[in-house]
Amino acid sequence: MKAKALLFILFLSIAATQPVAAQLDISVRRDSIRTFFTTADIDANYPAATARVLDTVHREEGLAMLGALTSSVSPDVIERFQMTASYIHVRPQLSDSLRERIESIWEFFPIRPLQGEHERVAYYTALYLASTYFSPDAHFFNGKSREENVHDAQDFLLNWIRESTERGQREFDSPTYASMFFMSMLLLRDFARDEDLRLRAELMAQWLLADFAHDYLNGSYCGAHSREKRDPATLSLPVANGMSSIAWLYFGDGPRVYGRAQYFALLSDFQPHPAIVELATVRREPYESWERKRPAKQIRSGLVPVVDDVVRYTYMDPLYALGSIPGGKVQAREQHSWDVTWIPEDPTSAANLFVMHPWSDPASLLPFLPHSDEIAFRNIGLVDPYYDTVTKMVGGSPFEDVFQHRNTLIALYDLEEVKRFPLIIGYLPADPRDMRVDTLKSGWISINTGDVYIGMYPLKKFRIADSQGKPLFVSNELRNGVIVQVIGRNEAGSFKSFMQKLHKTVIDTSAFDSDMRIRYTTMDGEKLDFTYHGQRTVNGNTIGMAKDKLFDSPRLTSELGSGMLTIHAINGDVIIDMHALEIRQSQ
Amino acid sequence: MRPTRLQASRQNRRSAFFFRRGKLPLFLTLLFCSMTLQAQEHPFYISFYYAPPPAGLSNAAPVYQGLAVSTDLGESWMNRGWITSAVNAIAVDPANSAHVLLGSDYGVLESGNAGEDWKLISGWDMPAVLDIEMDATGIWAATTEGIFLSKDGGASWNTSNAGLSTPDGTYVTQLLRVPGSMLIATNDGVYRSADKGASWRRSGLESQPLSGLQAHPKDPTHLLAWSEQDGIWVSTDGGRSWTNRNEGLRFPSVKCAVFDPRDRSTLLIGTRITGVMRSSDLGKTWEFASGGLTNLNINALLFDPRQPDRVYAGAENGSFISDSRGKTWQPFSIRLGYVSDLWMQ
Repeated sequence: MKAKALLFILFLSIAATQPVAAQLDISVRRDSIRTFFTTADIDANYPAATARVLDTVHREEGLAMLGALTSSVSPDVIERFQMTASYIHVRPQLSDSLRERIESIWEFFPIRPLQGEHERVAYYTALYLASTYFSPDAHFFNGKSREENVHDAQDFLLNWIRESTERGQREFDSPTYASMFFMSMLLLRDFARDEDLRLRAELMAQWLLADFAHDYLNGSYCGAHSREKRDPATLSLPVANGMSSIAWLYFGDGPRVYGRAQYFALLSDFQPHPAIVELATVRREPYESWERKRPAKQIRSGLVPVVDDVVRYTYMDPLYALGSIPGGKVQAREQHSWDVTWIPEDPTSAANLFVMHPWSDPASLLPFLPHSDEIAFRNIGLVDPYYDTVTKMVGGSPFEDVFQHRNTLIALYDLEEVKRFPLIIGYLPADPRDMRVDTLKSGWISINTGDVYIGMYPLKKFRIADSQGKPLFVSNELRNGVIVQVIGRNEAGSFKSFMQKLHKTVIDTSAFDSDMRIRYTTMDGEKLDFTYHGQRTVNGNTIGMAKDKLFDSPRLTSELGSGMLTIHAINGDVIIDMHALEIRQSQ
Repeated sequence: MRPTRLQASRQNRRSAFFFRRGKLPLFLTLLFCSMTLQAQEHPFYISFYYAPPPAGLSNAAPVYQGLAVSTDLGESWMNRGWITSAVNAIAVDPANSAHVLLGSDYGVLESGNAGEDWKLISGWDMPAVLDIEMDATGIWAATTEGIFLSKDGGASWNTSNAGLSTPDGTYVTQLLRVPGSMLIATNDGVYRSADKGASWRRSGLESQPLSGLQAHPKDPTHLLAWSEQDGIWVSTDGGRSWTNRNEGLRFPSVKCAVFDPRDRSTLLIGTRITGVMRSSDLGKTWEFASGGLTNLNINALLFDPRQPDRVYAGAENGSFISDSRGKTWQPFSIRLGYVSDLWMQ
């Protein structure tokens, strides 16, 4: 009963400390989301069906939508997850035939093997809930009994929570996929029969949200991440992702975004701890953030060595974020290695900049796909041709290496052994207030986004192409790279003043052609020295993430293996403690 | 053997679903599972993945996989097993050919009725299973993270990796039962356990990333080991020493190999690019034996235990039959994609 009591106290303390104004705001946002999913003229989907069934006026419409959705079956785990989430929420309103149909889908139709971490968490959450709430004589496609499935699922979920909070997530900080983890935890928090699992899911939801808030800027999930959906529209518009909709629900400071995960979150009485809302929305000073993550799990190919932990570094300024992965390689297929994100003047306009090497290689897929190389190659060609396109906007490359210190980044690319797509492509803002390309004198590309100025110095010859009205940076040089400097208008003054400072920085490329070494003195006078896959120093000091940290920033810290996350809030530290199973204010 | 569940009403309930375009695999489930398997007189199992969808249906869901079952020596076939899971290997109970285990990317699947019903008998922590065996010790699963062993019919599993160079990270591609011990092919050579998996010792080819291992059915001192990078090795002393036999191979990427049961010196190998190659002097010389093959990427080879001149080949795209001990081939009756394993009573 101890766990139940702790859970109760947790809610009570949140309610007591939540500002009244914020509660009013969130109630307005909740109404807006509910109205949208209940009435909007959108394609049939499970959240919309659920919203309509739960609304007495639209119930018949919702049941018909649910009937249509379940009349066909997909082996996709995300669809199964959403169907099960709907079932759990509307089960009292379901007809016997509809309930039996949903249970039959679980009985007869397998799900494709699970590739990603978010798919595994979604699957075992759905399996747990289906095995818990389905009728006593329900059967499952895997031949296991309800009890066996509950045991398997609970074991997996508890292990995932423990590993993620002690050693780091594998699929980390994904603007889209993170919402699946969060939604799963909310469902377990609300519907798991096991009290221990319910409490851990509540704490894990808070943990995930704190991780998000730490890298959050006015609706956008900033910086590098392991995976992202291959959708060019959302890749260039960071506020249009699943986690942005979660942010609008709980933080409310970014543009209004509706999302499927958001609707299911709306049905929960979960509230983020006020320290997390503060972490996301109160930015007085810039800060450096280090995070440790785990490499993606290898499904196949013992020939690929297990790589070291992934290190993620982000410089969070009140106006912008510059983030990168300076250590470890995650996924060739969907990694986002570095970018600049800022708060745009128009919330619907693109607000990020990044350069990437569009690497594709069948062998690179093997660790992540449950197929032989022949099958993986063909499968990718058929179901994911985007992976092998020169203009793809996601994907890491073994031929890139990044070094970042605060608001300065150096990205180097050695493409001499690359046979397919030996070039780098940069995605520049579509409609900046001003952009100057000074190829004659300084060599800098200077971009004025409004409140944020960005300088990008290509190390080699390049061109600016036009891609459907958007400027595209392209360079075919084999040993290549860019230096990126970002600064807010509040610090730099006018755009002209920024450009003058930028042009005075010292760039030493004398050892680049021979050793791929760059020495750069930043606008702040700091001396960076970076060699591709080699040394990285600031003013002569080697920098990197401390080996014993999971999170390390002035706002968020965690010791590796501790299972404790400390939010350094204005009124004192708040600790999410996965061992004591509580959130507590530090003494 | 664990009893499996049968429901009289399953087919009718399944038929209640209407499948929209683009959801091909589930439609196929309905199609195949509406057929009833009769008594297992001469079971022939082929595990496969990536078969082409039947003509006229959408190609929107290209992954179609599972187990093909024939009881009439390949004249007619039924699809069994989870068609959404890549099946890598088949193991069949010697005492009951309807008791089948599949090593799949989901884990270990078991059927007590030749594939009409399946149960996943492994847990969430089982990695992709590349090979599966059952013997008096228990059920052995070769996985991408070492050996998993169940001594209670799949109710519980334990890793069995003591002695492997990287106990949690060894990639095991094949299990080979020989008298008195179990041999495994790994990404770090061959290992042997003489104590029912309690410990493993090296048995040659250290650091070689092997794809498979095979013994002569009548003389287990004659062994083959192969790799998709470095060709094939032969041992005639039970694995104490190995000799590379790549000379004459145009492209040393070997995906499967078998001895001719009637001859310790004759062997066939299936390769990645050059189809089937045949040697009658234990790999000292090789001849091309791909006449009639329309696909030269061969994953599995099986001598017919009933007709010693007959050999079956599973390819990347199709299956083939030879009635000349593997010298020439013709297409086999079933149209499958990537055939991963063959088993015949």
